[in-house]
Amino acid sequence: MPAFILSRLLQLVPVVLGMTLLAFALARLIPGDPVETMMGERGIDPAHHAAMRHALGLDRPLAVQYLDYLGGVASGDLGRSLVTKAPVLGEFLTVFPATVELSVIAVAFAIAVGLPVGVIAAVRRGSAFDWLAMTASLTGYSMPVFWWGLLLILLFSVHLGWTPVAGRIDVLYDVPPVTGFLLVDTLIARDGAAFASALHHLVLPAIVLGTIPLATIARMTRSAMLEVLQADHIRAARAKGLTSFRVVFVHALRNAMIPVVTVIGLATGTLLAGAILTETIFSWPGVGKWLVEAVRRRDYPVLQGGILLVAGAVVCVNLLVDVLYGLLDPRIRHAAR
Amino acid sequence: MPLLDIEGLRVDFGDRGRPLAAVEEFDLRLDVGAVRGLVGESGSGKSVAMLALMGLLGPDARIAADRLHFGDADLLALSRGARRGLLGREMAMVFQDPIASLDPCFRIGAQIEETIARHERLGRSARRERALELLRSVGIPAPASRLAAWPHQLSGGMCQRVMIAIALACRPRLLIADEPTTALDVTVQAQIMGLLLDLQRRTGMALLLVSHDLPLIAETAQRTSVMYAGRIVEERPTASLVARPRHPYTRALLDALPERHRRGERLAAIHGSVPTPGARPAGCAFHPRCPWARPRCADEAPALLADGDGSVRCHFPLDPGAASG
Amino acid sequence: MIPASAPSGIGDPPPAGASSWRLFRRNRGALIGLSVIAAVAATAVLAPFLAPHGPAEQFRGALLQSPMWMEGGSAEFPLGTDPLGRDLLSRLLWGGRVSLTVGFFVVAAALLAGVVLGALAGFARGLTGILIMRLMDLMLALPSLLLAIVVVAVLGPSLINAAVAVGAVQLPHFVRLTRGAVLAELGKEYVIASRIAGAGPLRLALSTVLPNCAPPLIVQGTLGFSTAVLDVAALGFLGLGAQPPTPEWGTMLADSLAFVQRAWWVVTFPGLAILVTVLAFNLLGDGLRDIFDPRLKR
Repeated sequence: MPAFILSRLLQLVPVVLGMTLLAFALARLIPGDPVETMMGERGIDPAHHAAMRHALGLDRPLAVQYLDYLGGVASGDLGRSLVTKAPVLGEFLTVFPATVELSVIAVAFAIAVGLPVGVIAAVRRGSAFDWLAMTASLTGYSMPVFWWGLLLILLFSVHLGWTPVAGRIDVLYDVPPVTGFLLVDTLIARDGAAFASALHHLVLPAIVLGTIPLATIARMTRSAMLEVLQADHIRAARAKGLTSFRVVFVHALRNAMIPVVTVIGLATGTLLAGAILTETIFSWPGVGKWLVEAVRRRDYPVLQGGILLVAGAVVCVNLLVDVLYGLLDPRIRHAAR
Repeated sequence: MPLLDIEGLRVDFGDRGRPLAAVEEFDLRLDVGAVRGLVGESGSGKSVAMLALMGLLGPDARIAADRLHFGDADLLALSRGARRGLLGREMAMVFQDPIASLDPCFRIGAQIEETIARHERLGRSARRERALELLRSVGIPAPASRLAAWPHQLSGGMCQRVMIAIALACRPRLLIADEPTTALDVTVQAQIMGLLLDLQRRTGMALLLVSHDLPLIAETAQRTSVMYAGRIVEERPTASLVARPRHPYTRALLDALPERHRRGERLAAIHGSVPTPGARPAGCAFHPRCPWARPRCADEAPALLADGDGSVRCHFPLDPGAASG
Repeated sequence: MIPASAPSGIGDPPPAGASSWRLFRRNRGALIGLSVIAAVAATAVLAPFLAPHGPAEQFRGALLQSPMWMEGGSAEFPLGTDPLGRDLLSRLLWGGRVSLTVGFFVVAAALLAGVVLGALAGFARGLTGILIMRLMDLMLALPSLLLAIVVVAVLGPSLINAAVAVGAVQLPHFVRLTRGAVLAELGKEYVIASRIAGAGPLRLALSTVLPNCAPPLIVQGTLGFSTAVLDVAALGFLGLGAQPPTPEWGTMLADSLAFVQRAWWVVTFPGLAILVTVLAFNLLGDGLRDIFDPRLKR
């Protein structure tokens, strides 16, 4: 198993290097001169301009600049925000936990509902439940997330008043940040009311963010289960006299999990895209909202560092999925070179 | 009392309005500890009949029978749960493709122990001991280390030995082996057949051997049934079936065997193929391919009638003494 | 053993969609999808005639007027008006033009570029192929909307740039699909047969291999259409796509966000239009996949 993980890690090296190249190129592609951007609208005399370029190292060859940038990335220096002047990495680390917390709950919700729905739809193929589940999941899959979120806010927050409209927690609670995950921090602070408030704020955004993964997982689970249920080893398992429950939920589901895990992994990657929209609707202080604001304010260092960090996070999720793969499928584990 | 007593088994697929009979008028009696062969081309319905007996067909199959008894149990009267309780404990089955028949996500040992755990109240270590003993009895080298092996690490022959071990885990009274050697290399085929017969003799279980390969069955089974297009066409002791076939189809099967021919003589292939359930001709299903067919064969379906030491479904059974035509 | 019936002519390519239309008519989802798409397309084309008002025409006396079946509504504005007093139905109809046109050009451009790059990567092994595929892997490693946002950040927010961004995001899917199909087809017997017969690589690509890659590309194109509509609307919603007063569905949603609580219709109808269109393309795409690949059909 360690060899398997190591081989996957080695395969990631070119991807990560490519990402830095892409992020570096992004800074060159952005319209406008970095010096002018830094100095603002005021005109500056050419000599000062050249001195600034030299001070910033912009007059060196591109390859040298890239290596310099790479060195900065390796030591955690991703530049500073043009707006807040704070280091990009620091800003990322304050918003990242909010996104992770939201995403984890959203994926957990999607798995908890999507997996059983897909299994039951496959076992009861052609039934009313199957038809309903697949229609609903195709609809969910086609849902414009930003609109779905608004509808749910209209219904649950505005009309019924069940859930808060925005934010992570009521302002009256002051929770000392330890992990950045409010659900965890409130527990550490032993503040039950704050925990309830954080959970309360999390429900609706998590459902919105989890909708598309839920639909994808249900569809994939169903089709993977249908395929596995046809397999010879399922018939052989039935021939052993095993109960239907054991055949379906142990043998069939275990085999069907292999493609489903891919989908969950992919869904987690696309979750960040969904998070951009969900966080905007719910004013959720996470990575998505942070990046959209950076685009709007033309805060390019934040954008440049941010996509690199997000890409890194996605790559980590993919690595995790690969490892899970190996755990689930002994054939893949042993095929690892 | 016979161990297995099947009369008039019928399996239908397709719409209720236009049912397609995969198996019809299927009779089989099997004594305790007997070895029985069931022969037919692919598509003749032999596997469907066996799966129906096990209760392993999907919900789109409709099963009916005049009599479907296993020991003193009426299988049609049993609840689904009770029938499932027989599988793996009283009656077990080994399939054609051993590699695909093992769950790729579980270790060999776990798959053997699973059957034992389902049917017997045994502790974990006792189960493990039994699994080890089973692997040893099916001739797997280094059985202790194989318990932890994954299916993809074993060859086809080894996988089939494991499947046999699983089938025998609870000492069933009946083992159905459906084309147990077809997917295996020729050299391994003989080993697996030898193993099956050896285990049959040692445990005293009944063995129902299903194959398209008549010589394979001729060497092993006491009695043999021949199936064609969903029906049994001839049934008798294997020795006389091979020596003096009465049904033209049995005869054609025997004539198609290379080893029954002298040098220089042409091999007699059976022209055409088994008709599918929807496209069976009127009268005797074999008549379009039968060199001895007469007008009556196209009009009237023959019944399975007692004939000497067995029975045959033919209007004009072959004269045992006649030379081949 | 020699099979009883040898396949007729090993050198022939497999028939691509011989009885596809018959299968199509039996696929209810695909039929519904196609019908809805046809209806949306028809209203989009006929928008100048169907729409009661111009898409940017403002009626100062009818700000946020309710739909006609509600109290305060009138037949003049069947679905009500937006905060600037523009007729919602008219804007939705014109918005269909925007979404379908953008979707069409996005998919066409991504498909064309994807097939060329994918075929190149499939036929030309070596450095070219590796470079193309590595770049595509990189693009796939980023969430698609984020990548689109980056492209828009570089180019500046506008409808055209949003279309470019969404097209760029789709490119890797077509490239991978084409390359995979080319590699799979190259190994097949009829291709080997025509190679032996002396067909050059270009002729091979155009006459035998690419036509057989068509079915998966058609499916991906249909599904890509739905993604394009969705992503352009999302960019519009974030203020990074079409700019007001363009009647684009996502932009319309963003414009009326502040009035959600007072006028549900300004939010509900544009979103519904997006959902119905996207759903129709997904239904059609799923149906086509079932038709082209009956093995996957359940």
